[in-house]
Parts: sequence; C-alpha cells; structure tokens
Amino acid sequence: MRFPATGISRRAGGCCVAPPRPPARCAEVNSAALVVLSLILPALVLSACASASRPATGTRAVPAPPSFKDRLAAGIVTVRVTGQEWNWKTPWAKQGPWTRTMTGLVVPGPRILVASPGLGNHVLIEVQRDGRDPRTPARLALVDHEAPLGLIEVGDPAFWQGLAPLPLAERAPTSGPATVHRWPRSGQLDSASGAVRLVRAGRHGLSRLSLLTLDVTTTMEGGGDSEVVVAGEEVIGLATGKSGDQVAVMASPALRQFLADAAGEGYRGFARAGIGWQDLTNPDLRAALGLTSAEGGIRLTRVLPHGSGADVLKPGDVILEIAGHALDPTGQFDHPLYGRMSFPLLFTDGRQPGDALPMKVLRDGQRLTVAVTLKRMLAQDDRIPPYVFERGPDYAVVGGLVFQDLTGPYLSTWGDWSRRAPPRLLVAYDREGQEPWPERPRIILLTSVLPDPANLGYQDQRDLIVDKVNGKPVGSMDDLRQAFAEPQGGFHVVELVPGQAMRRIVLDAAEAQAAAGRIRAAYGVPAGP
Amino acid sequence: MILAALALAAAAAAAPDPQAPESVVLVQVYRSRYDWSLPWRQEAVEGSLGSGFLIEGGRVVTNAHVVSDAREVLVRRPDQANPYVATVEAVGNDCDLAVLRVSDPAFTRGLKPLPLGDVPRSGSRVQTYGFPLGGQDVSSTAGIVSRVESRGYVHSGIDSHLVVQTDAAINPGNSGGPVMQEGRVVGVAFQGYSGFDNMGFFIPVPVVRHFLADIQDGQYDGFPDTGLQTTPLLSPSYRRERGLPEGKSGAVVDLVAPDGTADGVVKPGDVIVAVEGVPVADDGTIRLGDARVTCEHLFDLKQVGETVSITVWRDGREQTLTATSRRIARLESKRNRYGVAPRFVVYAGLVFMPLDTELLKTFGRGWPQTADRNLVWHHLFREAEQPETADREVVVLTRVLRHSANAQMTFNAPVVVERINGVTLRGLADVVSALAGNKEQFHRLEFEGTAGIEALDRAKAEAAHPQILRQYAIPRDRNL
Repeated sequence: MRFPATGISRRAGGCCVAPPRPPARCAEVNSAALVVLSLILPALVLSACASASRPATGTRAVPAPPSFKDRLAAGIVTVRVTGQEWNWKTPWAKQGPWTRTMTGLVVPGPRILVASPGLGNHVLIEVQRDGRDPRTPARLALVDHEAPLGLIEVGDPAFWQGLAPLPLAERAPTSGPATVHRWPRSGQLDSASGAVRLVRAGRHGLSRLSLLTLDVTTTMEGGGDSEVVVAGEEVIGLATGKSGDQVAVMASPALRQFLADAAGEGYRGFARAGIGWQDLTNPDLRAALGLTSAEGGIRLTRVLPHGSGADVLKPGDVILEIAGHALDPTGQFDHPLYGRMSFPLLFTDGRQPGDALPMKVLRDGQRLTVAVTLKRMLAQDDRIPPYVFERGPDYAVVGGLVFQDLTGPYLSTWGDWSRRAPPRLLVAYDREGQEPWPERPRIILLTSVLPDPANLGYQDQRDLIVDKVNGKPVGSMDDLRQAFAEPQGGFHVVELVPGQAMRRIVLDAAEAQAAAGRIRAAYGVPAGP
Repeated sequence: MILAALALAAAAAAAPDPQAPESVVLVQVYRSRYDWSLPWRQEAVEGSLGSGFLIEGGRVVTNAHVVSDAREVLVRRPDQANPYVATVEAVGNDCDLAVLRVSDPAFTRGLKPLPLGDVPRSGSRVQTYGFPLGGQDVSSTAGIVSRVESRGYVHSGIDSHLVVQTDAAINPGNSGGPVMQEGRVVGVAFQGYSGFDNMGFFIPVPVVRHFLADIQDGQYDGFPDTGLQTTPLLSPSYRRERGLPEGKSGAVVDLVAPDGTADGVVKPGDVIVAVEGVPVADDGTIRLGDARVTCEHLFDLKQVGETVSITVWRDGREQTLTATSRRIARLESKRNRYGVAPRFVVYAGLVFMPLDTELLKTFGRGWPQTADRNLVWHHLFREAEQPETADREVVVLTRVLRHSANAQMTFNAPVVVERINGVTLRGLADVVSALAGNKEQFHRLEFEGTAGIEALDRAKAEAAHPQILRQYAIPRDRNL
C-alpha cells in the first residue's frame, strides 16, 4: 500500500475467524439474488440508451456503433483521493496528507465504482476522464470498508457527457484471456494483457469478508488500485491488490451485488460468518466424532457472539452442509459455477445480512438442520478494531496522562508491529481483540505521559492497559471520562492490569486540573478532550 | 577528549597490584548442551575456557556460566603444565557462581587460598586476574571501581543482585577470575556488555559469601525470592494518597507473588519504609557505603529459612513485620536453564513439553513478540492476572513427528494442551497418566482456546510409538 497504513490485517492462521475462503453462488437462486438482477438490468439498459443517443445530437450522420476500445475509454475514469491519517501516537494531530490515484468504473446512476481501501480518511476526491485534466470535484456517496467498495457521485453534469457504463459480467470466467485497464497521465488508455488463473474466495484490502475473487496475471506495471479487468467485452472485476505479476480482482458478481444493494433502500452490506473452525482431515478424529466415511464437514472452534449464527451455532458443532452444499473436511464445497470453493463464500455470494442460511450440523451425535441468520460484522464491533476510518483516535489527557483505546492503527505505529509492539498489547490483540465484552467494549490504554510536575514519577510509563479509574472498571473512553469526573478523596487513582510495569498511578485531582492548560500549551494539545 | 581519557586509563593501569596472586587457575571445560527443540538430544561437545581461584577448603571458585553443562572440567595452575581433573561441587545459576574441587592433593600444594575482602569503595583501585583468551600465564588488568549497583545477572536472565562496575578490562576467559584489592578478593569477574568495551562487571563479596554459606550443607538452595513487585514513590501525589508523613520514604507494593518471602506478610498498597531497620528511599533504594542499591540487596543477604524484618506503612501507621525468607520454586521455569535435561513426553510422535523460558527461546531472540501469543501470555502475564493459577504447569504440544498414525492431524503446533482423555492437565506428568489411563478406542486431546481438538486411534498409536522412536532416533520417550 502506498498510503499510510490505517489498519492491520490479522495474521493468517490455521483456524482464523472467517478467513478468506469460498463463496458459493447459489444455483438454487435465493430471492435476494433475483432482486439483484431485476434491479440492475433495467438500470444498465436505461443508461446505455442515454449514452447511445448522445453522439447523435451533434450530427445528422448515422453513427457507427462505437468500437469496444471507445466504449472502454467511456466507461473508465480516474479517481484521485487525497487523504490524511491521524497520528495515533500524538492523537490530537494529523499526519501529512497523501494523494492516491485509482481507477473508477462508470456504473449506472451514473456513479463511479471503486474497489480500494484507499477511500478511508479521505479529505478530497477528484475525478478525471480520458486521463486528462480538468479534475472535477466529487463526493463519496457510499463506502463499505469491509468490502472495500465505494460509490462516487459527481455533481457537475458536464463530467458525464460521453461516459457510459460498461457491462458487468453476470458470472466470472474461470480461465481465459483478460485485459487490465487504467488511465495513465499520458491520456491514452493503458491496457495490459493477462489471463485468469483461478477463481477463489478471497479477502480484499483490510476486509475480513470472503468475496468471489479472480487471480489474473498481467503485464501491467504496478496496479492493484481498482484497475478495470475485462474479458470478452464485459467487466469481470476490479483489481484490489498486486503481487508479482498477478492482480487480485474482486469479481463482477460481488460488484453487481454491491450495486444492487446500493441502489435499494438502506444498504445492507455483506455478511460475515464470525466463526473459527478446524479441518477434519484426521480420520481418527472423524471417527471419534461419529462422522461416517461418506460425510465431510468442519468443526467449529469458536462462534463470535456478534457474528452470523451466534444464537444457533455452538463451538464443537460439525458443519456438514450449507445451503445444500456438502462441505469436505477442509471446508471446501462444489460451487456450481466455479468449482471447489471455501465455505465462507456462501455467507456473501448472492446473500445479504438478514437472509437465512440453512445448515446441517452434527451436534452431540445428532444431525440437525438449523437456519443461520446472516449478519454484517463491522470493524468497530471488534474489541480491538483492526482498522479505523473517518475518525481520529478517541483520546483523553488527564494531568498529562494520555489515554486512548487500543486499535489496529495504534498498533501499526510500530511499523512491523507484530514483531515490535509491546508483548502485552500483542497478547491482547490475539487473545482478546475479536471477542466482544459488553461491559468492556474497548481496551483502554495509558499510551504515554506528557511530563509535568503534576505527574512527577510517572514520566516513563507508556502502553499500559487500564483496569479501573477511581474504582470504576474502564471499558470505553466514556467510562474513563466518567470515572475521572469522580476523584476519590481528592485523588485520581488509575489501576492498571497487573503484570505490567506499574500497577497503580495516583494523581492529585486538583493539581491535574490546574495543570491542564499548562500541559496543553507545552505539548500543543488542542483544547477539547 | 577521547585521547585524554585513554591516556588516563593507561596511567591507571601502569601500577600493578604488588601481590599478584598465584592461586588463579585456568578452567578448561568441555560441555554438551541440551537442545530444547529436540528435547531428547544433546548438542555436539564444545570446549571453552574460563578462570577460577583457590579459596579455603581446597576449593576453586568460578562462574556458573564457565562450567554450565560441563561434561569434563580441568583446572591448570599457571606454574604447571598438566591440568587436574576437577568436579563441580556446587552451582548457583541465580548468582552465576560455582565451586570446583580437585581430588588430587598435588593441586593445592604450595598454593595459598585467597582471602575474601569486602565491597570496594567507588573510585578505589582494583586489579583483575584471569586467562582472557586462555593462555599460559595469568593476565592482569587494573582499573578503578566505577560504581556499586544492583543489576541483572545475564546468566539466569531474571535474577538481579549487587554488582560492581569497573573500567578494568574484563574479557571472555576472565570469567570466574578474582578481582583483588590490597591482597583480598573483592569480587569475581563475570560479565560485560557488547558495545560497552570499557565497562566490566564483577560479583561482589556479599553475593559470593551468600553462595558459599548456602552450600555449606552440601545443597544449594539459592537466593530467596521476595515475590514483591514495587513501584518507586516518586510521585508526591501518590505519597500523599498513601498518607506517608513528611520525612518517611519508601516504595509502594504493587503485587505480592504467592510463595515468596513477602507472601502473607506484606500486602499490595503497603509502603516498604525499611528492611532490616535500614530506611528505604522513595525510589526503593538503600544506602550501601557510598552507593545506592535497591533494597532487594538486604533480602539477598538472607539465606532461605532466615527471618527478615520488613517495616511497612499501612493504615496510617508504621508496622514492623517479620517474614521468613523463601524461594519460589516455579521461577525456575522463567530462568535460562543449565545442566538439566529438558523435560518431555513423546507419545506416538506427539511431543509434549512444559512451558518454560528455554522452550520459548526456540522461537528466537524476539520470542516475547514472535512466539505464539497464548504461550507468551501464560509465561509472562498469567500469574499476575490470575494468581490462583500460579502453580499450574502449562503443557505444550510442541511438534508432531510425522508418521502414518498421526500425519493427518491438522493443528498448528505449538498448542497449549488443556485436557487429554477428559483429564485436565496440571503438569507434564498428567500427560502420561491421562494416556495410560485411557481404555477407549481413541485418545482425545483438547487444546486451549480456539485451537480445536484432536483424536488418535489408541491401538494404532501404541503400535506406531516404538517405530517412531526408532525412526526419529529418540533414545527414551520421556523425561519427567
């Protein structure tokens, strides 16, 4: 990523929660998928008519149908995003801005579709057509960081003159040639050849969702910034990442689903399983669990309480089938269109939060059919949000002690954070980061001390997990603020989780209050929290 | 500036101690270390050199790290060509000291034991003797006592005692040699820091005497562990909150670990104002001669079983409490280990080991960050967060030696094993009994957290077990 990291991805593990794996585009179409198609098709038709009629207005000659190359040029634009990250070490300040150029796809609306995590923390969005100035200001109409996908609106009608959406493929190809397109500064469309290597269930950007994904080899230099990938005169996806000579492409069925969702009332987003599981390839374990040799299935090791199926599934359940698809012992199923896919794709592909997902499970020797209601899981639902966009750190300074909730962006201030961040914070991230704890939704840190006579003796303390303040448990910044409002006998007492460098910090409440202005002035902390 | 400093150092070294001791010996060691990643295996023999010196009783004092994992120890007098075979009589890994004995009476003939002195004053001159890089003759360097302080002993990794810093050169091979002042031993050279070439450290006499007194009964008990975690009371607000009157000072107690000297005597929130009647400053230090060292030094002077008086400020008044010095046995798992074979159980290719520092070190130097975070939590944080679990020995399934009987297991080692065949593991020995006690068709393993479960066909496992031991060249299937 060329812009500053605003979040962190979880390490790949054998049994991570909702890892990137398979989607199943259900052949036995559910109602949601039907709605999707019926909404999107008229929109495409309308918009295509509008653009086809435009060239005719300037000339009496019967226009030749535009070449596919012209249609490509009319369907692809440049999006320049200027953004700015907060400085999570000095949370009242922001860092220098960055600007990132990415590719946008004209979609009915008309709007511009972008698949990139680079939309987070934007301050300015500009769009360009034909790879040339002028830049037209634009605004983000909708963003789903969990995909990550965004829809951009442009107010100036002149911008849309001559632009027309390209068709989005209803199904993704599993092989064959593909081309990758973007506008470089030269003003000529940059089109690189390539080929579809495979179709899989994949994650994009900082997301934990499993979406239909293509791996496409390409000769394009750079890339991964939402370039448009085309096969057979249809858009088959947008590139979200590049490694080596291969781009990871969010496939068109996922894009179509997003567009249909966005066109309807109330965006629903994509669902996530919120489960951890283990493979059941060990025949001894399968026999011990009472599985027959004809059965596959994976075993749940974790069911997050805010995930899909939290009320229905239990750790220890063996999931045998999802929506009629039998799972093999590694969680793969036979997708009718794309072959072997990992089962978390079934939570997103053609389904949305609120939909029911029938499953067959083995529980305590019984084979049961259960219906899981799909749920959307956002980053902020994690106890340690892996990424944070559109808001800065929530912080408080009391007597020079700086408090903040533990987040992915804070950990990423260590750079190679998983090897450098303080061990207790890494332990918190792995062991406590995903599991919600209603009484303590966040992990609150004393991140640093701004030295002042009011905090003499504590100057070197940093990155300590707070347990209580003034006798009250602290599980959010609001808890912290309320607790500091009630000093105990004239003192603020901060209790830290034991096992860290210090257990208790005591400040004189009056001194801390008197020092507030002085500390703000000395360290450039704006008035506020 | 730098040149001037060098010139001064050269001038200081120019006047040797007139009483160059003859009782300094070369210690030659052949060692074989254990391999914690393959716990049944010892590494190839390696040789190393150190120094030592004769004390009363015909014994030779050296560093523990000089003789750790030794399979043969030879000592050689600088005036003789042939070395003598020595035995290691006692080792104190927590204070990096060891005592050797030579059975051949010819060894001590004509040698005078070196007398022990006291803690030297800062700025006074000292002379080191030893065999840096080996060599035939004793090498001597001179310098001054830079300071007396409390500092970590790198050999064990977790212990901290009194040390003396000197600018006399202390190099590899000097380890175990005496540091002398006015004909008396004032310390044992033992460690330095790479990058700080003009700074060496020696173990001062109080620590040496403690070690020698400890082993008098033929058994080394080690230094007592207070079990105290304290915070300096450098904050005036904190001092007021504790109600400490003007003129009183001390360090506040954060945690009292189970089974340590302070357990059941001192409470969190107490302010330790004096130890053995010696006042403790707000930063937790006491005055020792012209130095300030941590008050732990006063606890260090006690042998296990001896009483120590601790004066605390509690509930608005001073109280003097008496505690019995104790050692926390479970802390051994937190130390670097020497001279002990790793504990393990191999069953049908599954390798079980107790969680300890040596196991974590197999993940590399950065293990607090890079090792499995569950293991790190158990090792570094669990006891403080859940003191009631302090005695639990965590059993880790460290690896699988692949064989058709186990190859299809899918867990990612290392994992913490919670239960085997329904038996909750409290320590490594439970692995053996839980497996042996099972009469079902399958052994069932349950891992901690979200790591899942596994099963193993018992009959197949029993049949595979001896084959696996043979194939993987494992001489025995357990060391409990």
